[in-house]
Amino acid sequence: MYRRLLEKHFMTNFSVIQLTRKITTNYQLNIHVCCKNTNNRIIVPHKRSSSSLPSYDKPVFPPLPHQPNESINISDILRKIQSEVKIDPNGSNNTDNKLSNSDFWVEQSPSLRELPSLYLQLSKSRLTTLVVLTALAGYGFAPVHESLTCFTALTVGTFLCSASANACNQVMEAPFDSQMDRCKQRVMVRHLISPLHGITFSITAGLTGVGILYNLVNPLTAALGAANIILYAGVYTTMKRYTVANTWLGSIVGAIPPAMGWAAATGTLDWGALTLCGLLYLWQFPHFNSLSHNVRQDYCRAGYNMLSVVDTTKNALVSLRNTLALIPLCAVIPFTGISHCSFSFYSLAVNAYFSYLAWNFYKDPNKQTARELFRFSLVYLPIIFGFLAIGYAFKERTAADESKHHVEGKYLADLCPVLPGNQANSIGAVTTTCPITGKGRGE
Amino acid sequence: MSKSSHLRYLGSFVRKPEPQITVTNLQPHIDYVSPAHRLSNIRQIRYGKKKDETAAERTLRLYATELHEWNHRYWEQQNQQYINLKQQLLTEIDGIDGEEEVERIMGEFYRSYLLSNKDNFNSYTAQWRKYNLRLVFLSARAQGSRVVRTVRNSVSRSKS
Repeated sequence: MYRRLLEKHFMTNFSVIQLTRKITTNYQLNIHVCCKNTNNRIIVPHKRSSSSLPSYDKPVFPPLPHQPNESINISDILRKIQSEVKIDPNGSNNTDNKLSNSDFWVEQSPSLRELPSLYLQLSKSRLTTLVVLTALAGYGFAPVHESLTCFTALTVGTFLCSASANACNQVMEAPFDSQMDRCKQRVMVRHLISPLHGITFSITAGLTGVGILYNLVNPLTAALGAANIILYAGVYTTMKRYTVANTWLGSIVGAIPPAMGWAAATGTLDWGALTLCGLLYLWQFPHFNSLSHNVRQDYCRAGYNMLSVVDTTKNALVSLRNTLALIPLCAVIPFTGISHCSFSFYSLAVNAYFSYLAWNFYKDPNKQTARELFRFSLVYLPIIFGFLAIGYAFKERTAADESKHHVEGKYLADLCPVLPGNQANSIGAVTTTCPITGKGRGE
Repeated sequence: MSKSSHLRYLGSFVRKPEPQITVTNLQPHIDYVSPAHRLSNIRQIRYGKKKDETAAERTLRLYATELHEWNHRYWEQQNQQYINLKQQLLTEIDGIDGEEEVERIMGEFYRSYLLSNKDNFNSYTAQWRKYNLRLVFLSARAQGSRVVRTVRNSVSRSKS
């Protein structure tokens, strides 16, 4: 009887305009929940959507909550079910057969107390923290005396920009993330907040972050932050579905934060900034390619266009050649004046081992080699930046004059006529005063 | 299918049991989110209906329900196809020894699956982006109507 009633209101083309018209003519939508004794089914009026998917009549959702006569204690039910569930006798230690809280229908009503943690999850707080650290590294290696306002504004601004980009990405990719084991516990997949809420958070964080960078740091840093948000949330998220070149764009996105930090300190971009960007750009490939090799079945099922799915050998080759390119890059870094020339030798050892792991991955792309490469890529950046910092500190102790950023003749950078700063009226010369406080180095 | 070591390529979502327990004491005005469906991994939402629901909120509720259902149907169909193809492949390569060979075959399978479903995925992605944007706008409209309704109620209450 209900089905006939619903078929009477069968709509062939779902659109907002038609639905509104239907509402004004007192269209009645009946959602009928059957009682306990029959099959717990939900009958939703079937509307043929505009896609080319086949239509179906059967409801396929899990049974909806029903109204029982008396209230039942959930923990009792859980205990009863868990005692009845058969465990795999072959000794699998997975808890797939046990029911957990995730097997219940849950309320979608986030309390104010939960919101900060939800926002942190939405912004991928661990990744964002690492992004902020790379920006601060760019700031720290820049040859200008730092001010606390600049430093704090850079930290907060970069954090908000990265949070905004990640939140927007999660809102846009909710159904794809639900298909991947790595991403299926995310906030938007579990519908903990609505898409409107997520987008609002993203827009607010983005505007606040860029505003902070514009007003409290400088316009160049703000422009880089805004460009990063647009590149990640707009371009990269779209490209992930259509072409394998998304990895290259993602590497550029990862390389911009040190440039932001350097620009925050000096107001311009110098060779030092570009080498740090290059370091992060090249590092992204072994890091991401090894990770994506291990989860390529999830990427494949979700429909992502990744190199690890399309061509496994080329995936490993790309990671190898970018790892090898790190060797000459790290050799060149001391010429920019960031670090002492001994950095070239320390970094050679680290890069050689990294290249060895990448070579193993290329020779035999399997889970083991990919995992080893990925794990080392996680510790590679702290090690390299540690060496850079040591070289920077060592360079500081040998500086004769604290008020100048370079002492003539003491650094290879000063001998090279090509680099900016060594020529009169060169474009992109590094300033010696902080744009905010107006103080020079050492004041 | 025999118990071979290649079973691990099937993934965990095939072995998971159906959710058998349901929440009780449902309240009508709260949204409830279901567990992830066994096959489609999409969660359904039972939107709560307020007593003084505005037209915009009703539109949103119906639209969002339809959208989640559409997502569910699509991924159910897609994942079923994936599982069928993969099981078929695993039965075919049951006797093969050597991890490298199996990895190579699985890599070839993933590549061919992605490339053969490219148009399918592209059209779904384009539609999803469109529907998601529309969902955000409808939510904003519903939220606005709720604010207007609240203001109107408070004004009429203060008048009376």
